[in-house]
Amino acid sequence: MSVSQSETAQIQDSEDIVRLRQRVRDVMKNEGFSLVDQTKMVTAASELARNTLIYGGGGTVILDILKSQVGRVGLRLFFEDHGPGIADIDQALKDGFTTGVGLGLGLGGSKRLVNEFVIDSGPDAGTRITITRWR
Amino acid sequence: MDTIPILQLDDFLLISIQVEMHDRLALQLQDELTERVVKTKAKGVLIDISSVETVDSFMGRMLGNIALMTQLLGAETVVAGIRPAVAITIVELGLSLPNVRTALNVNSGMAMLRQLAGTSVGGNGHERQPE
Amino acid sequence: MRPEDADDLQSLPPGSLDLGAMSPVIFRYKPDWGRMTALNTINTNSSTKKFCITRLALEIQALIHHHRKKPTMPQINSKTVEVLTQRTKDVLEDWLRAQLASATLRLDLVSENELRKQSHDFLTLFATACEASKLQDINTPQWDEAPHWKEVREYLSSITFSRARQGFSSSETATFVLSLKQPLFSHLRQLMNSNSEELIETMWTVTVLIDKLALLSTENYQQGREEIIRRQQQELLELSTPVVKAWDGVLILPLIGTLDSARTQIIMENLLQTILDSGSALAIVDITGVTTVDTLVAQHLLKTIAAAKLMGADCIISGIRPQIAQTMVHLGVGFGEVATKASLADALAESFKRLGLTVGSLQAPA
Repeated sequence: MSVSQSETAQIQDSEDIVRLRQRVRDVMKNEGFSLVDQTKMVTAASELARNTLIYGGGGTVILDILKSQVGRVGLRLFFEDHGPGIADIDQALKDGFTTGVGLGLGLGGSKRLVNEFVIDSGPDAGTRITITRWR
Repeated sequence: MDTIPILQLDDFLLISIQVEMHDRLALQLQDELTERVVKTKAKGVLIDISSVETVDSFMGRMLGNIALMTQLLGAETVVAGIRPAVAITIVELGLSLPNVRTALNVNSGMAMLRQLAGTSVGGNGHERQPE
Repeated sequence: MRPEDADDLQSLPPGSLDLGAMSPVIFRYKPDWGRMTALNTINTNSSTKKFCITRLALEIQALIHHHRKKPTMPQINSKTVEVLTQRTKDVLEDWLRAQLASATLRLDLVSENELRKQSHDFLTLFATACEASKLQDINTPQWDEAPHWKEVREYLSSITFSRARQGFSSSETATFVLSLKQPLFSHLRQLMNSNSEELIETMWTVTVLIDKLALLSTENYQQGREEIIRRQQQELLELSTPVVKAWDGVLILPLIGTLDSARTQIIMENLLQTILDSGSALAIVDITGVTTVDTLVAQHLLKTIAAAKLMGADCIISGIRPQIAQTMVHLGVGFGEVATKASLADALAESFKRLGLTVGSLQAPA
């Protein structure tokens, strides 16, 4: 597996979320992802970017295009914030769990929309989430 | 600054979302719409989202809120034109939109609103006949 | 690298694919390669394994070559170029003869004329590339980018892809380029019989080059086959999920066979797109042909129906057979709020009712 293209973006306000959505969609369109794949990944990106903004107090996202050895193309997004972090990750992944203003579908819902979902967080440790969708 | 125009058609308000929704715009639309419903005494609201490519939980919540708020103000809300890819994503995400009525397109959405408001529109073949 | 390693490596027969004979050297020389040899024991698909081993052999060949004293390259390579440019016709004839005599010949799939044309075109491109590059770049990364070699590779790829489609086996396909070795060698021998040291070096260069091309051909062959499998899978999926318009505003989706995630996704997209295109507000999902309905299948169906509902279309499930109804109850699987009917006919009648239509006989009852 190799990274064929990589870029970093800031998530500091709600317009950054819109920009990220557009960027993810453009990249996936270029790489030939199906419309449903595009929509799922863009939606997951939107959810996680909003989490980064609201709960993490802003952060960064790294967007990587992956090429696997067998020629599969994937898009990987890495969200990172230095906010308060998540104490109980299992609970946070359950539908309906929220400490804030959302519907509590952000984490669990995003996980269902992507092929791979990795979360790393802890109290006062910030949050790092990696999602990948393969074509 | 983007704004989303709210059109009036007889007793109904019509909104077509053509721009990429960011969170502030969504909240702004919610405010303006409830004001307009009161001012125009509208009996129904039709939101056309056939141009919308992404509905995340925030946008879903906004649609649900609008439906509940307008209902409190005496107007039914119908969301028309959800795209197939968007519908699949909403289901996977786990959004259920329980209070939101949906229609295939603006045409059937308007027919639905008229029926809900008790206005006779004549048989177009798609209306349920009185039992 | 220790001197005895170099000796060991050099003692291997050139072009050998015998991994067993090589592995002690490989292990000593580079532990990483030991992991690659593990592939030999894993139960992978045989062409992948073959590819890995061939690849490994090539790496070792390149290494041996690298550690030999640098020969006087220009002299050696000019002979190869000479053979290719001045004896083109003879080499071509010998090559064709070798191919026609080969056990892997498939005259049922490719005619002699076509084979002649392919061989001629390939040899022309090959000779041009050898001449232009003086064969000095074959062991460098630039080989992958050099434009003259690109043409050779593209032509070879096109032959390989068409053979993969026609039903050649991978060895039958690779033989095309591999069988060029023998005629090339015999002509080189004729030209350079006085200097055996140089002859060996020359033959070595040509071997490396042709093996590279053969590897590429094998790789392409595999890609070509995978492409075919993918396309057939796709076609099968699309063929197996037709959406039928039953009436203005009513669609029928007859499901047959087993529903897995991949199929359900295509069924779902297909149905939703047809709902949108036809403006139908009612869809009947008929599961008469579905063999089992377990929790997963029910979930898939419910997701599809929920998505249709979001778009503004109602679904009716029909064709639940008695034993399936029993299994569903035992498993505790239900379709919740969704309307269900025993038969497709009942579902159709229900949709007519919802549309306000009545079906009656043309003749008034007596």
